[in-house]
Amino acid sequence: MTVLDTEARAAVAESLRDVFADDSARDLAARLDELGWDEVVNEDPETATTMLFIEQGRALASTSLLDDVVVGALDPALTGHGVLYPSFTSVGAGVLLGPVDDLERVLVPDARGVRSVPAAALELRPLGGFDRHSAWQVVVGALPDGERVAGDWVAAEAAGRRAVSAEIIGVCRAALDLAVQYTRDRRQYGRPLGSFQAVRHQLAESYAAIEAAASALSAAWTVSADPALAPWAARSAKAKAGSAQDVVLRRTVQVLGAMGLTEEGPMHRFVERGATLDQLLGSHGQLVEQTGRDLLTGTPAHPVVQIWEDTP
Amino acid sequence: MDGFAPELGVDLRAYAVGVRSFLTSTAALEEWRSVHYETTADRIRHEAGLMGVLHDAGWSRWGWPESVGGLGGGLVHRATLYDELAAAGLPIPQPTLMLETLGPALVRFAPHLAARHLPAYLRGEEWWGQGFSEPDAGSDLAGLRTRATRDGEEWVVSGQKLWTSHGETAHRFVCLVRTGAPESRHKGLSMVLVDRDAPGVTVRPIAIAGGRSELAEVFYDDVRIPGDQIVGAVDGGWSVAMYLLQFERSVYGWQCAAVALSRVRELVIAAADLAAGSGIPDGLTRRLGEVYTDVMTLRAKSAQTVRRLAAGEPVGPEASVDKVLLAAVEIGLYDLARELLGAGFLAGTDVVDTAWRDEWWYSRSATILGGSSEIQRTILADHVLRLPKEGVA
Ligand SMILES: Cc1cc2nc3c(=O)[nH]c(=O)nc-3n(C[C@H](O)[C@H](O)[C@H](O)COP(=O)(O)OP(=O)(O)OC[C@H]3O[C@@H](n4cnc5c(N)ncnc54)[C@H](O)[C@@H]3O)c2cc1C
Repeated sequence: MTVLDTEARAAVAESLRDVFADDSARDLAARLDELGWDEVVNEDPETATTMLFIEQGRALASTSLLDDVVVGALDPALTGHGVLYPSFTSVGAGVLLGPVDDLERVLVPDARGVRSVPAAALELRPLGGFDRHSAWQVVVGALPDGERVAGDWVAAEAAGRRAVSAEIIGVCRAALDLAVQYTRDRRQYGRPLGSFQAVRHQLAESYAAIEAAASALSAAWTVSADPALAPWAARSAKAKAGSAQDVVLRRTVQVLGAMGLTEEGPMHRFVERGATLDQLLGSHGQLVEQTGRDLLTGTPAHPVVQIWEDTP
Repeated sequence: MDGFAPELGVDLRAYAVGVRSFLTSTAALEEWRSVHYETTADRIRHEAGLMGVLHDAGWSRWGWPESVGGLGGGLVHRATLYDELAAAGLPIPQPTLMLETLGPALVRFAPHLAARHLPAYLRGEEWWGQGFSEPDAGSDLAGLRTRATRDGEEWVVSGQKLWTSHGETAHRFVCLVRTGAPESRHKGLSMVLVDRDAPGVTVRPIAIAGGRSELAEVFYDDVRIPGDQIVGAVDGGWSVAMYLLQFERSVYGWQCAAVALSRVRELVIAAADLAAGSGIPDGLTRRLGEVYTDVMTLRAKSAQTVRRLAAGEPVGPEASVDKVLLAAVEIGLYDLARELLGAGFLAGTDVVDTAWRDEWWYSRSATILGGSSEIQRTILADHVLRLPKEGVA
């Protein structure tokens, strides 16, 4: 249930943009504290989380905020632990969202639950590769032993997927804004590019894909307290956000012409971030494949959305 | 059979067989197999060396007239060589991409310049860039503003070209410039050859996403060129450009199809590894089949177009179909690779992973360069289907 009204949201969004644009030495946590972020979260967790991650995506910021969401859902007593994300296992044991300098312990999900391992024992290398601007780290070498911790990884993963969905939506919105501005301004054949139907349709389709992902995400939030449905709906929301980045970014690149493909402009950064976020906690291809398999093996095709629910 | 045997000029099958046996049995070619380069400049320079080897053995001289250092024969010889190179696990040397775009127009419209410079190009001792696009003239090429002004026997070139492929290392540039009034559109354009080391030429390399300096911005500040470096007639540049674009759209398509086929083979191997390990994700088997079918189809269409060009028939707006098919192959193939390789594509540290990432980004240009996908569809709608035009001013 969302409680922040439109005006309050606009104000929060603006403050968050300032937070991510702030390149002073103060760390992100201090900046969010100054904003009284905890209060906003308590008041309206859905809006707060979604807006925070949308702005993180827009800003192409690479932070460990997702750890707080995941750990908070796992067991608030573990706050301050890092998380090893099981994606990217074909290149290592998993990824961390940043270096472990400030971390003592890292939570590692596995088939039996979650264990806590000493951060200092992890051997890391920067993720690099396609998205050279993220702070992410790949764990190389074997994982150290650790003690089991209580908490439900499935619920934590669902919370993480909702947050990453919002981040992907933010990446897509910023890319679309850029493409809309560019095609309004640039003229060829004596007309703005944005007046050619082939360009207009691509951007309109991008908009529809982003809105679809945003709706799927809000549906996932309506069932977030239901332990059975929350993971199911969060998976669909993440799949939809992941496919939106595919639909949107290939179009926003295309309408920029050569500019979209080179380091002369920023568009490639959105493509690169969108791709890594899609992989985090399951790519859209993997997630819909899993959903299809579940449906074929007896999971009911749940309606998720009830028209009588959440009417303001 | 050696690469100089006269019958190779008329017997294409013998040429194909001969090239294949040369490429698969010559030990000196090993240094060009499975190489990964730090920079695009390194790659161009090293692959130019391969041109030298092919030239010395005669094989790459077929398809070019004797007046430019060739041995005779036609375009099909060249297309055969490119195909056999890719099939033999060798690169199609980077400089030949621009050679195929610029060379035929030079032979036809400026035989004196072709005779002067193409022999060195064929030997891999120099290579050129194509200076068409400008900051404000992309799809709308006829809006370009770089000027050439006559000054006695010379011309003075001023302006700026953008996205010049291989611009960082090119030795010369073939530029489309304005010689008519500013508003003369395509009627007031001329094609000129500019030496890179002429005073006033400045090159700023541009990196494509992923970080490789594939392109350049080239500034021309009162660059003086001799009057005989005009390619074709003064104010006749548009017809030179249109002639050239036929080759750019079709031979490039054939070269890409040849490379794509060998990439499909590499993906089959990658997929076999996956099948033995974590399994092939749902739907990718079908997409592999689709990509292969698209590559085969591009070869079929492109071969028809190349044969028509080789026979001296003009290739009209229908060649936009080749470009549409080419874009489908490039996008489909590299998206499939990205998905098959999964996290390895995004974060693998191997040189092979890096190469797939770089090529993925480059594949995105298939819908942009040489006329974007939208422009190709507009050409088909306007000039083949003769639909009413979208109100262009
Ligand atoms: C890798 C690469 C290599 C290149 N190499 C060279 C080179 O060697 N030499 C050279 O001269 N140039 C080169 N180019 C430039 C290339 O030719 C131009 O990028 C191309 O002509 C498109 O121009 P633009 O980038 O300015 O895009 P724009 O013309 O600005 O187009 C932007 C978008 O608007 C769309 N659009 C434009 N007009 C219309 C219309 N009328 N109807 C519908 N949609 C429209 C386009 O399809 C595109 O999606 C290269 C480009 C790339 C990416």
